[in-house]
Amino acid sequence: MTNTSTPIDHQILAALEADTSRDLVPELIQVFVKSADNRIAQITAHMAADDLAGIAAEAHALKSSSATFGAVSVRRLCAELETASKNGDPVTAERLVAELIHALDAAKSDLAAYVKEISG
Amino acid sequence: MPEIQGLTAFHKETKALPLSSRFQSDADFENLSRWIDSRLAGNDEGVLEWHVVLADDDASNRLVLGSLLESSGIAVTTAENGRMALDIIGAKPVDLFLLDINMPEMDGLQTARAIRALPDANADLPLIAITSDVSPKRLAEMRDAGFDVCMEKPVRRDNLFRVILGTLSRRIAGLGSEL
Repeated sequence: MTNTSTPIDHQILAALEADTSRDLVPELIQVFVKSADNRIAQITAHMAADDLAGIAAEAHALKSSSATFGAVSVRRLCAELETASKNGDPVTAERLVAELIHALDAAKSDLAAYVKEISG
Repeated sequence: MPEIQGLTAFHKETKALPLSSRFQSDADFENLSRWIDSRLAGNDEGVLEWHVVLADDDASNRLVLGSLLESSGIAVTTAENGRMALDIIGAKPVDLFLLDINMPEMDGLQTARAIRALPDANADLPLIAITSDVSPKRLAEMRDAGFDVCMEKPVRRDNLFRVILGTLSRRIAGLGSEL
């Protein structure tokens, strides 16, 4: 399960803030969350349609953006989901999608708390 | 290729992997200043504008990388896929490309191959891959497609600039008799 590690690597978030600006980070996070939600919706739709290639593509994209925002659990699960989908393993993929949804929820809560903290 | 010890240290520091001999891990300031002079020579206003084309299908990645570059005064044109990135070449002079690999319609590997096959000097433009997949198979594909260097996400601003300056340092060699 995913609860062995924190949803967000705050060092990566701090680096993002240092490299851009504190004012910009909430907007960046908002765009990430919207795009991640969209990817999850696509993954769920592909799962229902048994489209493993579609899942692999979306998982890869989400792996890439979650790396930028320090969403380490999401990133790890996306990598595993991409591999399972490419290997044609729908049983593992289905389990990982469920874990991924939970991990993204946890990441979003953590990010929301961070935005509140730096905006306060 | 640089000796492997130095390469490992460079990768550790910057999370960047050189893929071609066009890339050098440390900026050559003599070459860089010649490159800058050559750019300023054709510019009436005496303002150096670097133009980077950034292609990534993910909006958040475009926004983050775009901000890193723009906050340093670099002009950025973003594209959602390789096809759109290629279209920019004809519209405005480009100094280098930052390309994601996995993109719909035209991916980063196809885009790199298309740029290297251009009939003019644009075929020598520096190509930087920005990706989360740095498996040996993918690195080999990027090298074969013509990329100069690969950077692993997440990308830090200082590392990005070190890689950009290293890449542009070699650009001068390709300009040859124009100078």
